[in-house]
Order: sequence, then structure tokens, then C-alpha cells
Amino acid sequence: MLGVELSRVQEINRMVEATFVPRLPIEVRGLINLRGNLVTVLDLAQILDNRKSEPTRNARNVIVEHHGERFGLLVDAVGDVVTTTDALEALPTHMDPQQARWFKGLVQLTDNVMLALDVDAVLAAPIEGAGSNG
Amino acid sequence: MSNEGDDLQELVNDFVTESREHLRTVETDLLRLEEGGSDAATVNNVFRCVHSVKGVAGFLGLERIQSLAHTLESTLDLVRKERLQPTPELVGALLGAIDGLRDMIENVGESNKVDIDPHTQALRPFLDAPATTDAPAAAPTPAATGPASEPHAAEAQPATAETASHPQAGAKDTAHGAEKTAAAKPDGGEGAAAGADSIRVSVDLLNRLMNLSGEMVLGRNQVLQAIGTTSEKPLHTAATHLSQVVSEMQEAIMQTRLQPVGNVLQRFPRVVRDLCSKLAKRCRLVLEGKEVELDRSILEALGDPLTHLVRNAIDHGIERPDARQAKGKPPEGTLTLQAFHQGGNVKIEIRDDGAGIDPERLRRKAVEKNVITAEQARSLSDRDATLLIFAPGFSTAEKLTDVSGRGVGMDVVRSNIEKIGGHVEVHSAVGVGTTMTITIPLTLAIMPALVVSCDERRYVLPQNNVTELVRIRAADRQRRILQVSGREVLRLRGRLLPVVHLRDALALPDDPADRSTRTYNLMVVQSGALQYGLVVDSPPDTEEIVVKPLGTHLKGRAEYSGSTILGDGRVALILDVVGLSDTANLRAQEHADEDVLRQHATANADQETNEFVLFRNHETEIFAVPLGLVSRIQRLDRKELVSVGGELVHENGERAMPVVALERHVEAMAGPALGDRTSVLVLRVKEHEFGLIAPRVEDIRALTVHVDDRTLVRPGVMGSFQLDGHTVRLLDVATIAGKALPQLFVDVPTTQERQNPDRKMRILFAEDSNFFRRHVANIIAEAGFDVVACEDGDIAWKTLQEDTAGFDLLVTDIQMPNCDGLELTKRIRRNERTAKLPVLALTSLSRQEDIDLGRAAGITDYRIKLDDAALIAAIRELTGARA
Repeated sequence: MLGVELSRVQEINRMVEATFVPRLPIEVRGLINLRGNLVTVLDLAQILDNRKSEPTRNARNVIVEHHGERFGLLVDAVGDVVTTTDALEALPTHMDPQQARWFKGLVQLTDNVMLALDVDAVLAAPIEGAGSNG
Repeated sequence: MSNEGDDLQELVNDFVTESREHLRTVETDLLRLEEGGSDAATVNNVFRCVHSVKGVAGFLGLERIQSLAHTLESTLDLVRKERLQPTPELVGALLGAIDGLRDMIENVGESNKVDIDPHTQALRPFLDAPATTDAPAAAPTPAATGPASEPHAAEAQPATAETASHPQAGAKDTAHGAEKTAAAKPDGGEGAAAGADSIRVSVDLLNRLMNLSGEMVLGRNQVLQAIGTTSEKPLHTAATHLSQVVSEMQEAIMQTRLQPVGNVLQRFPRVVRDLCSKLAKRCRLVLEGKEVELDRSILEALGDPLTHLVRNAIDHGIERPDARQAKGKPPEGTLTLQAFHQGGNVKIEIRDDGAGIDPERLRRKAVEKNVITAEQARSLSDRDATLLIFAPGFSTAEKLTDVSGRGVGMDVVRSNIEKIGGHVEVHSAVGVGTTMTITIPLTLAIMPALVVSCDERRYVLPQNNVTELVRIRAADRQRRILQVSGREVLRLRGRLLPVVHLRDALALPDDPADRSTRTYNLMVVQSGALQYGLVVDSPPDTEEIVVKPLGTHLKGRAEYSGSTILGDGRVALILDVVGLSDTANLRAQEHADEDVLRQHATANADQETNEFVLFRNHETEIFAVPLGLVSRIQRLDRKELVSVGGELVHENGERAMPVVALERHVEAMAGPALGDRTSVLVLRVKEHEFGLIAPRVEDIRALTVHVDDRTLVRPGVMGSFQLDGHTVRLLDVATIAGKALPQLFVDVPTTQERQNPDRKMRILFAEDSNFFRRHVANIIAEAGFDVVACEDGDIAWKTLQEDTAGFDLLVTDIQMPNCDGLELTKRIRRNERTAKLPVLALTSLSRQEDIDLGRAAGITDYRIKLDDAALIAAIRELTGARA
């Protein structure tokens, strides 16, 4: 389970079918037209899990901003809005650094633990070592 | 008088607005420089901004601004040459000077009273001791008030104090500067208040409006579609109304970005006047087409390149009055700036009647400056040599002058124009003048495009890049597409173009078996000198698109130049013609294949490379005249043309030259009424010269063309060929001369020899091109000779050996398959029976070394192809000499 700071999220929509752009890094799913603006859509599952996300009924596109440019992050589903008062807890020390680089820390929920996504790390393109989408 | 005052005030206002913008970027750039060390592009940008402030200030007589900008420029020049490091101290001093500059600009009226010494003093140490890096650190600067530069802090004190006491102080204190800017407004802002009918709107807002209006159109389309099935009349009426309003609104929003070219052109009368007085030259400036409208951002980007071209025209083009008079020109030069629409673009011509560009001088300069090697220089055509002015590091200014600037050359002009999607061409004739033509799109935002599909997805090509569409069915593939070293090459009207499959360039999957049975939808695309055929899946649709920038993830890809949203709301990528060719590795391949391509091209009969002058008489019709027949292209003054018995005669000194209009002697649409000055092709036929009016000379080009000598042949037209999608008619100059000026060319066309009862002279004629063989054989026969025509040198040699009646002359082409003209001549000279036969070579090559080579082989004389009259004269001379 992942969390993104609400202040970073501009909107969440169902525009999960993006226009494919050949010869780009594998995590770039393409472009969508968001009310006249072009938004680059990234596949979060590809970045974090190295798997392609499926456009299921629950899939959503989370629009975030990074250095003045808007991006869409494809996610499998959107859960709830939670409010935390505590500061982020540090990531477990045994976590794979390749994985750890995408997260800012941990949030303790009542019955679960949530990883706080580092949006800026994810959007700092391109991800080295990844293949091509072609 | 007051009018001029208004103009001046407007110029000053423009200067203030422009300089403000320049200085705004300068500040951020300087700060970045301080942070990240020396970055060539950043330094150059700062340098150019300051340079342009200096330039305009100079023209407006704002001496103090000019002087401070000059000091800044000199300092920046050292940074640019990496002789000064952008230390915090230096950047501080620079920022201080920039602030001073800004204050003066905000209060332009008072600027000449401002004391700029503190700023120049602050920069002085850097200028004086640039060689060592210690010196800057020691320099006293207003910014160095911090603890950074202790050693000479005491020394620095006076200067710092002085600056601080001065009202314009505050090096990095931008907030302070901004405050003062606002405060300075009331007394300096009279001009700004004048245009009460307009308000300033940020371009960002306009862009958003554009985006939203596009979305609105999409929304409207969906609404119209949705209600198409209902029968409710009020809804329909409302929707129709809405639809109309939306269309008008979109148009209006588009227009908000358009401004007349006059806004940019109006600064030039002053520029020209001041420059002329500085250089002791005389020049009249003609502005035409001020009302033509262009996108705001394009206009802004045009200011600097245009200024540069105008200065160049006066500095290098227009001669001094005495020199002009010595050449028979009016002492006052004419510089014309003309804007006009042409084929979806706007063109701006900068035309002078000065000395022109001397290709020989350019070659020499280019070699001196190591831009090209001496060998390359020799092989350059005059036209290509002229293009050297755009080469980086090339500037023809003899010395660095106030006028031509320092090192901001024509290459910058060209790249600035290309940045806004335009291009610049140069046409020049020595002694006659130079024309620079800038072609620019109407707007950056909207452009006509072709939408193609590939692998079920759509891509967009700018229409400007596409010259034609070719559809090749699988059955025609073999004939139209050649395989050259494993690559496909399209045969198109005698040219051979590499073929690129979009699927390959985009690394999309494809089935080779399927490809071999597919119909090729091929678009001939072009960018600069690059040209190739791009194969896509479907024939294209046209659409007007709004160009959107690419996001960071896509920016690195050379294949795409932008993106857009199509009419149905879907996203499509805009393809970059040059980038695609790089991916397809076309350029490297091109060189390797060049020789093979050339062989293919020359092996193809009926095609010869000839140089032609192309011109339009009427807007819609293009004509060609072989360059060999044109002794010069001249612009004639209307006043020097006299009408004598219905025909025009140009009188210049004691020689009178007849001048004819094309439409009087050839089936052609009438040209425009004669203006004050008109271009004339001066043609030479049998030692006589006459002028053919050519209202618009398009180009001089070496062309390999297939001449169709059937379809369009009429009196005065010997054939036609296709060029860039236009039909070009090739003029028969000898016939035109004979018809137009029978008194001069009385014996040109026909048949004296035919009535001669004696034996006809026999002429053997070898030529591989069907067109030339038929044409020239006819000409010779018409002049009363017996002609035997052969397809190549081999056949001619056999004919010569089997012949018993004896030939009087061999007329031969040089380039032929099997046995060429030189080889044929050598065989003839080696054989005792034929050794004395005169050989007349017809050629389209006229380089001296070729001619020498021919003479060494035994060729008696040379004539240029298509010069019929000269050919007949030579034949008569050679056969007569033998008789």
C-alpha cells in the first residue's frame, strides 16, 4: 500500500488509456489530453514492481505536478484519504536500496503500514537501466 | 515634424519594453552563471542581450546607456572567451551595472544626465587585468561588501561608499530595484499611457485561452453529434447559434496574437538614416507590406535578425555614392523591406541594389578562416559559395566595427530564424545587389499538417516538410523503387531518393512478407538539403494543428518535434523529419551511396544536368532558359526603356538593346505592368544581345530533368519538365529571337542552304538523350544539312566506318554511355581515314578544365547545348572552312 501527499495530487481520473509513444523508456505509457493540456503518463507498477499495470475497472490515473509540469501516475486502485499527525517513520534498514529510493518513509495506520511515495524521485526521468517500451 | 517626434517616442517606448525583457533574462542568467560556473550558452545569451541594448541605445542617441552597455559588453566578452572567471565579485559588479542600466532605461528621458562612473569603475579592474584569476577576486565591487573579499577591503571602501551613496546602487538587491522601477514610472511613463485603447495581457493567459478555445470546439462538436438524433427544434437552434459563436470566438482568440509587421519595420528608417550618416553613404529605405500580420512571438524574434540584415545591407551592400556613380548607378542606394504572403507563409525580403556578394571573395575568406579547405572552395558553385556567409565563424566584416558588431554573425541570424520555424535564403548578383528572403510561418501556434497512420496510431507531419505524395502499388514497385546496397531508393523524375519506413524509424513491429505485397504510401519529405521518401501505412489527411511542447520524458527523442491534440481529442506526436532520418541513419548512408546514385542517375537516358535560369512571367507560370544563353540578369529602370514602333528598347549610352515581353511571342499569360524597375534576362544569340522581361527571377539551378518534348511544345517552347510539383516550360530562345527581332536575326531560322543545288553537307550526330537528339537533329536539318543521328559513341563510330559518302562534320555529346564523346574523338583521330574530320562537341559542362581536356583529345570546337543559333553558326563555319 502506498500513500501520496494530498497536496501533491491535482486530480484523480479514469483516463488510463494513453496514446502510445514509440521509442521511450518502458515506464512511460504515453500521453493523454487533459482538457487541452498534454500530460505524460507513467506506469507506477512498472517503476516499483517491474510489471505492466492492467487497465482494470479500478485502475486510476493520479495527476501530480513536478517542476511545473503535470504527470499522470497509473495506479491499480485508489483507496482512502487518511490524515496522519505524526512525522514519517524511517524505512526499515534491511529494505532493498533499489526499492527504498522511491519512498520517503513509513506511516503507521491503525491496522496497517503505508509507504509514502517520493513523487519527485519517481518523476526524475528517465529511470536508468530500464528497457524501451517498443 | 511632430509626426517624426511621435515615431521617435514610439521607438523609445519599444526600446524600453524590449530592454526590460532583455535585462530580466540577463539577471537570472548572471545568477545561474555564478552558481554553476561558465556555461557557454548562458554567457552568450547575456552578451547578446547587452549587445542589442547597446545597439539600439546608440541609434536613439542614449549615450550613457550605450556607454555603460559597452563596458558591460567588453567585460562579458572576456568571460565569453574564458579569460575571466564568473566569480561572485565579477557577477556582483555585472549585476550592479545591469541595475544601473535598468534604472536608466526606466527613466530614459533623464538617462543622459546619469553618472555611470561608479559602474564603469567597478568593472574597470576586471577589464584591465583579465589574464590572472586573482585580480577579479581583489576587485572592488558594490557586491563585495560582504566578507568575501577581505584583502583589499579597505581599498574597495571608497568605491563602495560612492556607489552606495548613489541612487542607483544595490547590486543584488532586486527587490529594491523593482521598487524603484515602480517609483520611476510616473515621470517616465507618458508614452505608455498614450495607447489607452489597448491593455497588456500576458502571453501565458493568451496561450491558456487558445487551449481552452480548442477544447471548446471539441465540446461543441460532441454536443452537435449528441443532439443530431433529437427532433427538438429549440435545442437545434440553440446549438447552431452556439456553434457559430464558438467558431468566431476561436478566430478572435487566434487574432489576439497577431500584430502587423509594421511594428517591427518602423524602427528601420531611423536605423538606416543613422547608419548612412555614420558611414557617409546615401540610401533610400522603402517599406512595403507593413500591414501583413504575424504572430506576436514571431515578430519579437524577428527584430534582431532583421536589424542585423539591414545593417549588413548598408555596411557591406550599398556602396559609397562616388563608387556607385562610377559604376553608373544612382548615387543614392535603395533598400527595400517587403513583407508579403506566399503559400501559407509570410516572406520578408531585404533587397538592396548594392555591390552584391562576390563568391570569389567569399571562397578566399572561407579558406583563410579555415571554414573550408582550398579544394572544397574550388569545387563550390557560385551559389553554394554565397551560402558561406551563413557558416559558423564566418563574417566578412574586414574589421570589427561599431556597425557590424563583434562575432554575432549571419549564422546567428540564420539559427534565430530557424528557431521560429523559418528559413533564410540569399540571392545575389555582383554589381547588381543582394536579396535576403526570410520565410516564416504565419503563426507558431497553428500550422497545417498531414496526419498519417502507422501501426494503427496516428502521427503528424508539418505540411511545410512534405513536398509531394507518391503512391506505389506493389506491381509498380520494381520499376519505381531500386535496391541500392540493400536499401530502397525511389526513382522520382530522374532523381533518386532514399526511402525510410516510418515503422522502422520508430522501431515498430512489421511483417516483411506483408511489406512486399503492400502498396507504398510514400511522402516526399524535405528539410533543408535533406530529402527522402517516408513510407506510412495510410494516405494522409490534412488538419490544422496546435503545436504543444513535449514533456521532459519525450524531449530527448529526436524523432519528435512536438505533440498535438487532434480534432477528436486524441493525442498525436509531431514527427521531426531530420530526427527521423538520423534514426534511420540516412546521412551516413547517403555519402556511401552517392556514387552509386550518381551512376544510376547518369545511366538514365534523356536526363542531363544543365543549369537553368527559372523565372515567372505571370504568377502561375514558370519558364526556364539555359544559363549558357544568359549573359547577365539586369534590373532596368523604367525611364531607360523607350518604345520604338511598338517594341521596347533599352538605351544606355550609345548601345541600344531590344527588350521583349514573353507573352508577345510565346503562348503565355501576360506579366504584370512594368514597375519602376524590372528584371530582364539579357540573352545572347549570334553575337546579338536582347532582353527578355522576367518580372520574377526565381532561381538559377543545376537540374537533372526529364524534358518532355511532346506535350507542351509550341513556337518558342522546346519542351517542358516537372520541378517541385510545377510544370516548367523550357524556352526556345533562338525562335523567340527570330520572331521578336527578325531584323537582327534574319538568317537564323531557315533555309538558304536548302535551295543550294550543290551537294548537301553531311553531318554525323551522336547524342544519347532522346530529347536532345530529336531536337538538335531537327535544327540541323532545318538549316539545310543532311543529318545522321546516333544513340551513342559506339554506334557513331560504326556508322563512320561503314559510311562511304563521307561526313563533313561530327557533332557529338560528351557524356554518353558505352563510348563517350572524348573516346569517340580519340578513335577518330587515331584512324587515318577520319583523322581530319572536324569535331564539334555539345556540352552542358562548361568548366575550363573540361574544355582543355576535350581539346587535348582532338575536339575542334565547343558549343553549349540548347544554344541553337550558335550551333548552326559553328556548323557553317566548320563545314565552310573545309569546303
